[in-house]
Amino acid sequence: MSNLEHVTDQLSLFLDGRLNRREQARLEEHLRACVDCRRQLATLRYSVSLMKQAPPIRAPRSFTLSDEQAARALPRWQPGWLYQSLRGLTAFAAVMFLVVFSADILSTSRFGVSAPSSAQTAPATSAPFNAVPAPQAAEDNQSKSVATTAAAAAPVAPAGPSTRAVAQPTAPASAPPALPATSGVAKPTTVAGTAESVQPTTAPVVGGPAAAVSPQPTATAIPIATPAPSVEPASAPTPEARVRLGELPWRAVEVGLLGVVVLSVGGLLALRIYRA
Amino acid sequence: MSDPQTRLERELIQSARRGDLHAFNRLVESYQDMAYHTAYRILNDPEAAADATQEAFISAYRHLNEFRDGSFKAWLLRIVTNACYDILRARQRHPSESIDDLLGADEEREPPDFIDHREGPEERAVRAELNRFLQEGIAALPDDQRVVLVLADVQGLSYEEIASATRTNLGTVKSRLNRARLRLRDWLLERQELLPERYRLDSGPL
Ligand SMILES: [Zn+2]
Repeated sequence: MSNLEHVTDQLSLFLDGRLNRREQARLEEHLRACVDCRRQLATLRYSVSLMKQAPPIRAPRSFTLSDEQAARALPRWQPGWLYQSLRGLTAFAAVMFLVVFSADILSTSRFGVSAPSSAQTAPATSAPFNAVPAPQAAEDNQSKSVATTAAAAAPVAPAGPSTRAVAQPTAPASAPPALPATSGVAKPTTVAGTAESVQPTTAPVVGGPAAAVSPQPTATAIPIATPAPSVEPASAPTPEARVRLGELPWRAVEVGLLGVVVLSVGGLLALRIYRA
Repeated sequence: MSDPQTRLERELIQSARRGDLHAFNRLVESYQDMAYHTAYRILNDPEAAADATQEAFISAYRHLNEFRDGSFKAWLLRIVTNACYDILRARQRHPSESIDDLLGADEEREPPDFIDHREGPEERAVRAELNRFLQEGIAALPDDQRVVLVLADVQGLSYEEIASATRTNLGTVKSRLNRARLRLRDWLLERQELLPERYRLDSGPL
């Protein structure tokens, strides 16, 4: 009686119990007064219950997925942006490393004694080898790269004292660590270049700082750096050798770049394994 | 949630997510009747319903990682609904074919395979009659109303689950369902004499 408007719009919600208490009270009040809406509700309730009796139907066949369908369902993996940018990063860091490294070698060999030609050939031969960003080559390279950084990274700490030792030639004790520092970085070039041509390269690098400290440590150097013969000529300390104080940033940059190469190659491998 | 997951089901979902196709296929086996039934009611065409069902399970396999806790049935029905809408949209683009299909196939169509086989041939005939009657009534609804009505009254999804399945809001679901039910009721009442007697509305006192 209180509301004359019919409640057709709310009958469905009422059947589902989705009216709030106030709406429900109003609707019930209306139903008591309105035959028309009562009839609407009864027929609607009938129709809904009939619908709920719709006989369930069996699937006409099995819809299980075959191996083939399952394989097609999962999109074939395309190298994603992460993979692509890692590849780019690897190539970039490798090229930068070679640039820095050869600049390092070249500046060293200027006051070095040995053939500058070998110093140039070493990075030159290794260039195409390292710079290939293709995952295949990266994989082949990886074990070597790891070895390289292991060798290069370890000596970073000793490199500090060794350069200080250059400034204070009276401390021969700290000299020996300088040998692995230099030879450690130089060695990897042997991997790329021919063994013979690289040996001289190793020698001046080894000889340079070691000789700068004092002639005595070179004796200790011999067992570590096997290409002993060429150490002798390097042992002429020149004022120029103190320029090698700038060695530390060179090393840091080289090690850093190598680290980036190794990490990104590792990332590429991890991505491939994860997706395989 | 209309269908709380069992522990076994959770385990199967976990395994399937890790790529265990066998586990996924066990899920398919337990849900394929439900999925097909839904698609059949929405599309009113056995072959299209089978296509939609297959598509839905392939899509479910692909997107299994996106399933969050809740009713797996509702999540699956959302995908089935989506596959049905793809077919409905294709029909709208090529209406002539579908109308031919619908009108031509409807009369001579074999009754579908009902799940409950306990009854004898007579019972089965009555069920088939009821089924065809209801199916025709549902098919007469506009697409959007039909989808909501099937999900609500045939599959028993909640309003919230239907809103998610149809990518609409609660208000839309409520009004569509209300209109669909009223419309279907009118259709049924107009054809009472076609119903098996036992299903007719008592014209007794209201
Ligand atoms: Zn009224």
